[in-house]
Amino acid sequence: MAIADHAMLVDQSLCINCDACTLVCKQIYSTTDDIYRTQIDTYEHGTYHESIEVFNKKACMHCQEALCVITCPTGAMHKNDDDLTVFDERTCISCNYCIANCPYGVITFDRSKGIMEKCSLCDKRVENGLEPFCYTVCSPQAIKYGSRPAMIAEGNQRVQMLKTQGFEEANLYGVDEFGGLRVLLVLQYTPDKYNLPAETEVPMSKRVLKYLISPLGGIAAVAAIGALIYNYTSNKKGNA
Amino acid sequence: MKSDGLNMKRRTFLKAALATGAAVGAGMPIPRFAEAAEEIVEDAEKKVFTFCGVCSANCGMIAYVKNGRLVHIEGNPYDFVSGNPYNPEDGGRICVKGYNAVKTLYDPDRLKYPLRRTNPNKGINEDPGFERISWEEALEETASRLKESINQHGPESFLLMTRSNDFANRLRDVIGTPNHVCHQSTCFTTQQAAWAGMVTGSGRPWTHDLENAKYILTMGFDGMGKAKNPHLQGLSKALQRGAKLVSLDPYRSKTAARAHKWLPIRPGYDLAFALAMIHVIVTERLYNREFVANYTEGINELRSHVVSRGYTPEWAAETIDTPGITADVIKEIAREFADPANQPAHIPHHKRDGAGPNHVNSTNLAQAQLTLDALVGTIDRPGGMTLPRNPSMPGFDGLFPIPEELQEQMPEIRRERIDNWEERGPFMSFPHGNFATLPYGILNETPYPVKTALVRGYNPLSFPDHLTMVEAFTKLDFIVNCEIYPSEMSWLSDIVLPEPIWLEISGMGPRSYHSLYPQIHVRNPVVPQLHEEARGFGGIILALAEAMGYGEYFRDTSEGGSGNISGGKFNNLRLQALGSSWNDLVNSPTGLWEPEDPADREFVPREEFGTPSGKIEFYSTLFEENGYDPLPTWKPRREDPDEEYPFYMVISRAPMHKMTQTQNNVLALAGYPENSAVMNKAKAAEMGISEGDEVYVEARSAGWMDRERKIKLKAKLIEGVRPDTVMIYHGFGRYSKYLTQGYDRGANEGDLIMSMDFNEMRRLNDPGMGAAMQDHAVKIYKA
Repeated sequence: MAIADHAMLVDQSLCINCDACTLVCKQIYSTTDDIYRTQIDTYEHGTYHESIEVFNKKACMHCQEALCVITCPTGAMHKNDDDLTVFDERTCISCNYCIANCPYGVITFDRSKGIMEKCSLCDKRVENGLEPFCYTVCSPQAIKYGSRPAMIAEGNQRVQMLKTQGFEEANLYGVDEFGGLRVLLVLQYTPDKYNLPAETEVPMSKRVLKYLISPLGGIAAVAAIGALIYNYTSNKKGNA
Repeated sequence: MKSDGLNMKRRTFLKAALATGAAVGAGMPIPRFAEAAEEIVEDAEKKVFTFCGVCSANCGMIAYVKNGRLVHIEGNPYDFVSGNPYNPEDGGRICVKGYNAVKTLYDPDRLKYPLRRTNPNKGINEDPGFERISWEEALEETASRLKESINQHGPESFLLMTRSNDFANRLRDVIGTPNHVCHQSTCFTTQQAAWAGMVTGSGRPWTHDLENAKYILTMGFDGMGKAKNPHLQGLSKALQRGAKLVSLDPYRSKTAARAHKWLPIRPGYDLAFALAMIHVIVTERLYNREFVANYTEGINELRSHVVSRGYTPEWAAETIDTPGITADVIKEIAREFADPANQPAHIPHHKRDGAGPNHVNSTNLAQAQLTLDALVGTIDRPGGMTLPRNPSMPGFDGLFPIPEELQEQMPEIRRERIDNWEERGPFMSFPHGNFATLPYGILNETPYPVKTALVRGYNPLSFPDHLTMVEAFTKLDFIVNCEIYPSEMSWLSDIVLPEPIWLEISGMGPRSYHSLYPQIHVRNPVVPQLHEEARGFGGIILALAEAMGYGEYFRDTSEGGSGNISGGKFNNLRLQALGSSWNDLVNSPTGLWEPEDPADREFVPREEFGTPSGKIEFYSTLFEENGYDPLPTWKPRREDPDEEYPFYMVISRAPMHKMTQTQNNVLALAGYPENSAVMNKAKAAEMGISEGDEVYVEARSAGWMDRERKIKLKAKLIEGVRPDTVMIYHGFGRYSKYLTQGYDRGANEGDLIMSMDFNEMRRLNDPGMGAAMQDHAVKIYKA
């Protein structure tokens, strides 16, 4: 059985951009040609001998408040029992809202198959008590997997060690972003150096939109609008 | 906690069935997502123990087979190389090249049956026009061509090019040729010489106990980015334990990207840095007194030497002349390296790094590195390099002796070789040989003509002076090539014989590249041989020997033995000598043989070493005896850039590629499809070169072979490389059209590297006789 409240921890300070995760995942899931479920992006900052190079494992972060799920009009993009963001191709209408709204840019439309490709954190393995493949294969063991509290504790420990070694900006990314991510990152530098988004909250407008466009959410939509009005009018009183 | 397999759930099955049904109903293609999900939840039919054959680390593996098809490979947690027998819960991991091997197994371009060329012309642009022939034909023709040539031109006219193999070695000796030439002069002979001269008397170790090191200094060593999985894992574990990593490298390798400090050392000048470090440590007396007193000789000579030569940090900084590498930085690193709080400290070196054989001063650098490790006490100690702890097994000749009456019939073998390797000192193993001098010997028929060759696994692309080597190969009358895929060597050969890939065969291997106590890993066929006509190399040699009339030399003369020698018999006898057997090994629950006695599974550091004094010799008496520098000494590069050729060139490999073996593998190509001329952004801008522009990289035509040396590549611009340096990944520039995926991508930097004539090799007087693969200058201009 899956670990309750599970998470993956990617230690970007150990990643070596070998693409083991990228290519094993591609091999196992047989993604089309240039499409990958996980990739490593590389960024250089500074110049020559004073430059740094960082690697970012770009794959679904399994946000607990997932914008792709919130904005999917049909529920094709949804959360499973293990709180993983997974895709059911049977109800997808190829509207691409998920792609447009994903803050991490980790969903790809495979036109040839008519499906959205993205990392599922090997949901079928997780369901059966196994770890995701990228954890199993990562050669430098930069990827850890376990309970979210344990991953956060380990991540913080690693951040502390990096700080003592002179990486002053070291931080653990994913604790609170988008309701808390199930893929946490140990970063040596600030998130922008890894091209991670500045916005880390689900905009209220998206929440409302969800309820408006989802037939099942009609009542919730009314409630949401009601809440907005109440909020607005309370503020006005406050300012008086 | 891993479970043994995955059970398909009814719910999942129905979901998948629904998906496929619905899709088919709607006339849509069946979504692969559903199919793929099915695959990974079903039970793997079986898990098979084997070990990797991509590189010589031979990482222990567990192969997952479903419906008779290999679907996935993982590391063996009990194996030293891919796991940790002291801590198997850590799990086993291999490298991306091992994981990719699934696609090599199923590569449709693999060799399937024997081939013969029909086009009599040979060359890079000459399609051999292969036709399929039977094994009988192939063996008969090969045997008769070889015998005819040997009868006419002598046994020395036959050239054997294969990594040392017991069957091939015996055939070589029966034929009586001294010309067994391997690649090690382009690989690690410089490090081997230093180890032999200072520590072992012969041979070099491979195991780095990196995970226990607290301070790791690398000089062009990209342990995280290329080649060896155990180095990668060891460095990662060390980093996780809080080790400090400092990386000297002309370009920002993967290791340098992960290091706490990257210093863009001038290529070939690591030696100055190391000598200055020695100067600081011995003059400030920072070394490990106890280790030096008990286990080394020559500290006083070493001190006098570095002082009298003036190898000061100031001298080094001026010589290296690189921003960020100041005298203060050198002192700081020297003091950190020797600091008791940072022990164990270690300078790992493996192959094709600063210590060689990339430069004519590589052996000197290896000496300096060993000196530094000895000063802090990490030679055969935790955190450093450890001497081999391999199982002691009887050898081929011991188990299958050639009967005396047959031995008497064997010809006497000439001393002179086609690559002049007989000039080597006592530090070099036979049969390493020298790729750098081989083309000269063949083309000039010096000291005599070589006419035929059997080449296994080697590819002309990996030679220095590749085009000249192609000329040398095409000059031969007859080449037989044993391979698994139609390489550039096949392209130039007369007869090509298909071998199965390592995933299809049986065998066993000691953990030579990484073990603290002896282990032997089993190799089981993961799938039945895909191509029925492929034959194992031992079997090919046996059949060839029979066809040449030498079958008698390959009878099983072991006690109680009969019939012919086979690999299986050899393995079984060796295991029996250890108190085990092939059966035991195949049935081992961990895929491994290990010593039974727990005392034999403990790491016991050596107290004595293989030198004449029994100590680690800072002043190598063996080197002195043979006319080499006994102490690490400054020596410049063979060639520095000048106005006309202003760039250094460094060569490396992409992490998912292995030399010339993976460029037809679609998965490896997905990771890295084509090599480039990697240049510094600012420098390129100065030169008007933009990202993706085609450029020529050209080397001087010098040395004994006058030819144009130029290749065309697309420029890739980064910050992480010296402005005066270009970096190129090896393995591309393929011209075998039978490699449908790998053909004609990028270019081969081997075209730029010079080979040597015999005089130059002697003049360089390098105990390692290295090929100096990166010791030349190039120029770059837009195409």
